[in-house]
Amino acid sequence: MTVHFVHLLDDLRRRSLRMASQVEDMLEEAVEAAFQTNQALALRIVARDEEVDAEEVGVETEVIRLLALYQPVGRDLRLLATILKVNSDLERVADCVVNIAERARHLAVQELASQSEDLRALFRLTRQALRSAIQAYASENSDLARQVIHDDAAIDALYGQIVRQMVAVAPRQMPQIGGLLDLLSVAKNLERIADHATNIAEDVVFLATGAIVRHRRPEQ
Amino acid sequence: MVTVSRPVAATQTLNLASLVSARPETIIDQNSSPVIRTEDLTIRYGSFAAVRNVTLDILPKQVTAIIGPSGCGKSTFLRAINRMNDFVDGVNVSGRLMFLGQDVYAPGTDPVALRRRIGMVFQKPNPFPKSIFKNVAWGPQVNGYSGNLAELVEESLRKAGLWDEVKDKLDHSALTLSGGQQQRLCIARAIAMQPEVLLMDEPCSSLDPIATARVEDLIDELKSQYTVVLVTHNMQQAARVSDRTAFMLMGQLVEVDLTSRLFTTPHDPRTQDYITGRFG
Amino acid sequence: MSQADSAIDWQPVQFRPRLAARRVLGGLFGLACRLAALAAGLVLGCLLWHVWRQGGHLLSLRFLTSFESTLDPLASGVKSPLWGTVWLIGLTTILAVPVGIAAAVYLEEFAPRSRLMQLLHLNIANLAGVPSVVYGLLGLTVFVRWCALGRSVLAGAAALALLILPVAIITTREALAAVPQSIRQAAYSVGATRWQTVRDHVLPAALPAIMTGMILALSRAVGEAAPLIVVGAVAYSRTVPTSPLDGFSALPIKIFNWSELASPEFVQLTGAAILVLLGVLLGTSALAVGIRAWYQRRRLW
Repeated sequence: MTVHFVHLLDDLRRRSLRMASQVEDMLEEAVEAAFQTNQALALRIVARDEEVDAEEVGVETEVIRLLALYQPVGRDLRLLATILKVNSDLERVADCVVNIAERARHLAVQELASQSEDLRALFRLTRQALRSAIQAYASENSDLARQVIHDDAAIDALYGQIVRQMVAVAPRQMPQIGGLLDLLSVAKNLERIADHATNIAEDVVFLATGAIVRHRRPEQ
Repeated sequence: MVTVSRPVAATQTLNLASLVSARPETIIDQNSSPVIRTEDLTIRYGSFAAVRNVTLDILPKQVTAIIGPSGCGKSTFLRAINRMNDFVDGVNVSGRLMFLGQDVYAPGTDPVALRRRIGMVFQKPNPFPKSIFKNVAWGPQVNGYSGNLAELVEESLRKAGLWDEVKDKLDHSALTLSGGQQQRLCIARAIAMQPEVLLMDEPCSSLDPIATARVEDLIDELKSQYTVVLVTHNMQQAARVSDRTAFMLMGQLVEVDLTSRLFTTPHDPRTQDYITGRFG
Repeated sequence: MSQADSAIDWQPVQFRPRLAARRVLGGLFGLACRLAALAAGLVLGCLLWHVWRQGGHLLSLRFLTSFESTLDPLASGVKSPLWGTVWLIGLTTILAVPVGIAAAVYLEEFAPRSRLMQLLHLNIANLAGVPSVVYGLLGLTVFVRWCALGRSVLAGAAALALLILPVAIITTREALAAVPQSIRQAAYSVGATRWQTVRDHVLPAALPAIMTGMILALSRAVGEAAPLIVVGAVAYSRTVPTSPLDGFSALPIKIFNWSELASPEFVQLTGAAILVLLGVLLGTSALAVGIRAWYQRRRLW
């Protein structure tokens, strides 16, 4: 039965990676929609999110089934635990992406977004973090994962800077408060996506080494 | 309604850690001195080395499981501990095997006295073809037990979880019991000798799942009083029952660790392959 | 589904069961066995019937309790040889059984498994096939002369004991070997010595088989005439042994003696004596089987 189990585990892993790749694409499209006010794109993202939700339930069900029927141990067990947690993180990332896409409906973002270099920088860093985390997940590379965890601090700092900037600019640009808030929302969601990417990276470290590295303040 | 409030002592502090770690298996003293220690133990049958250079410590009041594929030498190793291998022709033992600091294979060691302190339960239940009472009482009798034999038999049967089922038929033949009951009788027979160590050679192999579960529960209770070494080819059993697990392959000790660590994060790739069923 | 499936050849392998032929062969074999058994039974039946016709009418309590009479042959009884045989059975048992069991226990349980021991076992097996008259000669030299026992029933019993000792040892060894090793291991594991294990577990478990072996060996001894003749049993006697050192006669010798005489009375006596001997054999067997059954039922824990 082990041969069968190995195939099932492999299929599940690939399924999880496909989902990750899908979520990555969604992020690209969402930010594009936000910066260029593409309504159609925004709607498509919402539709894809529904697929991601369904897939999340499917993957989780399969994980539980494999745990119950095959009682895996060792690396197989860690892999299933990791798939389960990454699964949940990916679904949350998709939700954040949908939030970003919905901001695309408001034109104001587009005007303000084109001004905000910091926001673009935040997007680049977040995309990089997510891409690296998924790459580490695919190759079970704990070094790459640790890099992602380390780089999260920079993303947090950048987000903090954006917030401070807005607070400073807001009193002068009161009429565009709606746009500013949308911008803030996009930034917030990007930062949250980066946090989820960090979670995924931590899970990869667990998968590769068996060590649980969550909730640690990295020494600066 | 009267409420009585207990005064809280000023020095009383709330230790969350002690509340959380209530599961016994996490409170294991890994620093206690080993009951059994082997150093470079090698056992040969003729020219074939069944056990090769095994260095292993068995810690007190714990269940140590030894797992490995068929023919890896785990049963040979187990039988070396109480010198049951002496009855096989052509056996050669080199290296050291210490029981409570004394060399088991030293020329002056009396194997009969050794076996009084190290009991054994076998793969197939092997009660004597005598009454249930006699099965448990014979060992103490031939070893000159001076206390109350009936009490000893009752106590042993209680500890083995068999008393209620047999208390009314102690004079019946042991062979009228079911397989699971016979095995528990064999365990009672072993612990009637009040040993320090219990060696169990695949004790549940010939039992059905319910009997197996009862014996496993029993092993869990026994470890508070005895040191248990359990050889099993059932990895899930080793995972369920033991505190430490040793993995043997082709006569060699590959890895030994806390059970929880060995089954989640084994160090040796051979251990990983074995426990995930990639071979063996 | 998986790659492994395509590697297996699912083409059915050709069988040629030939069931009818096999059934016929099986039936033929069974028939042959049955015929053989029937033949054996038939022969035995014929013999018994013939003997019964010869001397069955002479069987009576008087026959068993009176001595031989030279004046009136038909008034003869088998009291002397009968009691001689009874004494022989008793003494042979006392001599052979403990020695046989002890020797077998030593050889099977205590002796190291060496080439010397294998040689010894081979020799014992060979001794079982030595003609009984040789044991008679041995008994004559050792017991009658060297031990100065004279031509006594004790000497005769000793010779018979030597005769059946090899068989007794072999069957006892096999009975001991048939006790599962797991029992011994269980006993050792609670800290028992080898002797305690043998005494309390191996011997009791082997006892039924040992007793069967002893019965068979004794039965052989009861029917032997040659060694007794050599040792000095008498063919004609008007006394019964009252002590082990007395002279004796025995049923097989009497039968042999009477069978040599031609007159019709002695033919009848021969038949009657044979029947008595068979009765003794049956009695011994029944007694031993009875003891075994009682032992098994009581199961002395």
